[in-house]
Amino acid sequence: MPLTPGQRRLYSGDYNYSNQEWQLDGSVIVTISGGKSGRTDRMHIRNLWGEHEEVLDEKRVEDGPPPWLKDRLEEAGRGP
Amino acid sequence: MPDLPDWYQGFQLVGSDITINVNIEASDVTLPISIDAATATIDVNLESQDVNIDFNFADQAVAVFDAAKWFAHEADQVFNNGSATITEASWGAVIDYTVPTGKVFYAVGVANTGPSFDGEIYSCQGYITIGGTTVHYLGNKAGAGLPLDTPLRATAGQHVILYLRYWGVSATGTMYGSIWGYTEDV
Repeated sequence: MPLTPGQRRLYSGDYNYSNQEWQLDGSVIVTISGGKSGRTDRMHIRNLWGEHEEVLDEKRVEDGPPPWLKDRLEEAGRGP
Repeated sequence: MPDLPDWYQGFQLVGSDITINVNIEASDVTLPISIDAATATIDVNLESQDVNIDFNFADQAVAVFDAAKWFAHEADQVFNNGSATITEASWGAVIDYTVPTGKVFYAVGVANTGPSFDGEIYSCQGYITIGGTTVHYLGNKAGAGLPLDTPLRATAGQHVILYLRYWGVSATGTMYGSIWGYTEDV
């Protein structure tokens, strides 16, 4: 089975921060961020690193400030 | 290399007060120091009541980094954090990190928390395995953070796992841990 975008990033190491939340059923919620991609990937994985690793759910969000902060930062960056 | 005579240039000053100023003003200065020898010994011996060593860089961009900060500067720092719900006295893996393709991971710190029940904290044990071999033990009462003065090293494909357990209360609690460091390309 081909890797999902999040898995590809997990195995390539393009992240600086990872968080693993181990669930009682042995599955793991993995969140990775930082790195060159500028995104945060959150994956719910069964059998992490195992032969039959399976991504149950995956979400990708853009890193960075919310739009209203981004607007203010851009405006402040233009200078007086 | 031809058989050249040995060369010795001594430079010795003896005095109660010695000042050596080296002042170079030029549009372009190069001071190469090249030591090519099977064995080189460079001793800098300062014996003074007060010693000041000033490095004054006035270039447009000069930085001196130690290794950890340099790898963070290069965005190669890796912070692995994890949590797991663990039954008293049972080992639980809170982090299972596989070193990525083409990388070597150097761990320079580890931390863990202890579970809290009604405000009470309980004793914790932990250990780290790399490639299935135990390489480091932890033990504390209230959780701790530990910088490592010698990094733990793991190569691509190896699992770096942090196991934790606690005891003292018959309950199930959540424990948290971190292992941080940096990666280098192979």
